[in-house]
Amino acid sequence: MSDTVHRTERWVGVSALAFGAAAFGAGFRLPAAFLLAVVGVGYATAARAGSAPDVEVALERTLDEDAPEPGDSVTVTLEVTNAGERTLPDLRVVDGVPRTLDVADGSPRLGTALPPGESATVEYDIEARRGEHAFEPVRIAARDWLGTTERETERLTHTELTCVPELEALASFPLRSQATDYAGRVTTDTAGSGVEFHSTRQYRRGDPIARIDWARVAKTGDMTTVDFREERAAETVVVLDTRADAHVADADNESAIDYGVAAGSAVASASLDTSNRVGLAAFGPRWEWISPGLGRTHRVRLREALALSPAMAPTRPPEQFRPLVAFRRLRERLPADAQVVFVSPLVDSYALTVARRLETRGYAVTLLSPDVTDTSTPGRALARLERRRRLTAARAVNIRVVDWDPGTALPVALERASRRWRQ
Amino acid sequence: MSDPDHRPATLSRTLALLAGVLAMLAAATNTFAVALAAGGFAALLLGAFKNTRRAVDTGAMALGGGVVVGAGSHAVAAIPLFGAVATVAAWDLAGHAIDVGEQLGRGADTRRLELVHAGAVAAVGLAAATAGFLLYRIAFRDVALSTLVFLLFASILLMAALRE
Repeated sequence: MSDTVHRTERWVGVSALAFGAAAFGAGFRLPAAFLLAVVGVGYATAARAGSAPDVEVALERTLDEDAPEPGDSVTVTLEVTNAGERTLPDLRVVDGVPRTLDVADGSPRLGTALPPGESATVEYDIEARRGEHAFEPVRIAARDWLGTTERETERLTHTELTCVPELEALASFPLRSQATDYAGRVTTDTAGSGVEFHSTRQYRRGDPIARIDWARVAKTGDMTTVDFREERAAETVVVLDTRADAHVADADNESAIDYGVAAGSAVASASLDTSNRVGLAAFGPRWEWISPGLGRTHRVRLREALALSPAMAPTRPPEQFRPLVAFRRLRERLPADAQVVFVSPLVDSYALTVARRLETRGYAVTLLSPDVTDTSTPGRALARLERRRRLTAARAVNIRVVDWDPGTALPVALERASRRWRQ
Repeated sequence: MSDPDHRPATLSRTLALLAGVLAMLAAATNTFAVALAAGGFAALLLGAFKNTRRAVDTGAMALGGGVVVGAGSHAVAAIPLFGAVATVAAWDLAGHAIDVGEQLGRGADTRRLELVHAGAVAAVGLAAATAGFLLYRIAFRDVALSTLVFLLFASILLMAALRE
């Protein structure tokens, strides 16, 4: 609410007319020319007499939609009312659009004149994005009639746009075979009951009758038992790379963090749909951790964290990042039999180091990497090559890699990647 | 975010150019005055379209010069007076167009702001010109130029007093 008043110096030049006309008229003895000085003096006097009006305005901002989905267009209406006693002959208003949102249509600015009690509206559309976006103060400048003095001020009117997208739908996500002791749908390498054939072995007393290989008994008289690959529940933790280095954008200026959140949300939803426990962590300067869990409440919790957690915000975090502290914190919380889906654009080598360290500490790591590189400049082309090299290095230590070009659908990338794993 | 269009506001610019044409017509008495005013108008036009304040200022100065120089040859004292008002209006409105374009951009609704400002500028100028004209016609028809000089001096003092 700090006002600053300053002179615009717009009318300084008008005295030149007064003096010029006076000098010319007096010098050449021309009364008609001399008379023109009156106009200059008139303007200069009127300009001097002006004083910046007090900005007494009432502001009211409304959004036409409370819970938009990302990409939805939300109409913002800002009503400005002159609540003072005096006319505001020159009022300029610029609405404080949240820095994280883009204006889609119209202009958040208005120039008007308002008699007491009258109001004007600014109307424009913004494009909703994931997260919580607070409007910034409205900037107002008011001038007097001739615009000699200007009073600048800011008024805050609280409005927030909250956009919590649904978890991305994904039919299935190929989890690795590391699993927990709970029954579930992930086929493991452990022999037991299940659907997929694993091995045969000598019959042991107590084996279920249904699993005895009766054809073999009939042929040779030996009792053998068929083992199947056991199906267990997996416990997945989606670790999002939110370090400052991962805050990169692709050619369309979409943030890698947003792609990562979309991918993480798809993995989480696929895991929950197949009754696998799933958790969430942000590996970055701001910490976020949700232990693996199941169920509707857990889904809501994941959804809100992905949308609203400051750790997942698409703006670069100002805090300093301590990699070792973050890594230790992550390891302390990761359950021993959890597998990790590490989501990172992989544009720096430290992301690869993290994936490798997790893998060597016994967590089955799947590296899901949205590709934000392109070949528009030599530097970017080099970044693309380096990223490819990192992907190869990750594959070499048995990390599963999903190289996702956000231009294509995630299931396509998954299909392509799992074909590679089967080879 | 698409960068807003910060070219000068159209309404003020159009009014400025109209005022410029009027000023040029008021200066049309002798060749020198016409040449000066036309040059000034050209510079004003350039400034108003290319968004340069300096061209607007220089143009207005030349335009004003043309009006002042042409004033001596006019039979009717009212014409150069209103020419001077038109000059000031052209100069101010062109500057205002640049100003509004810079602060608010083309996308914003600024018609009311521009109209009110143009109205205020015209009102002040017409009041000053009318007062000057009446003074000239009625009260000081036969007075010496020296009297007018003192009168102007007095009004400058008044201006200085108002500044405090």
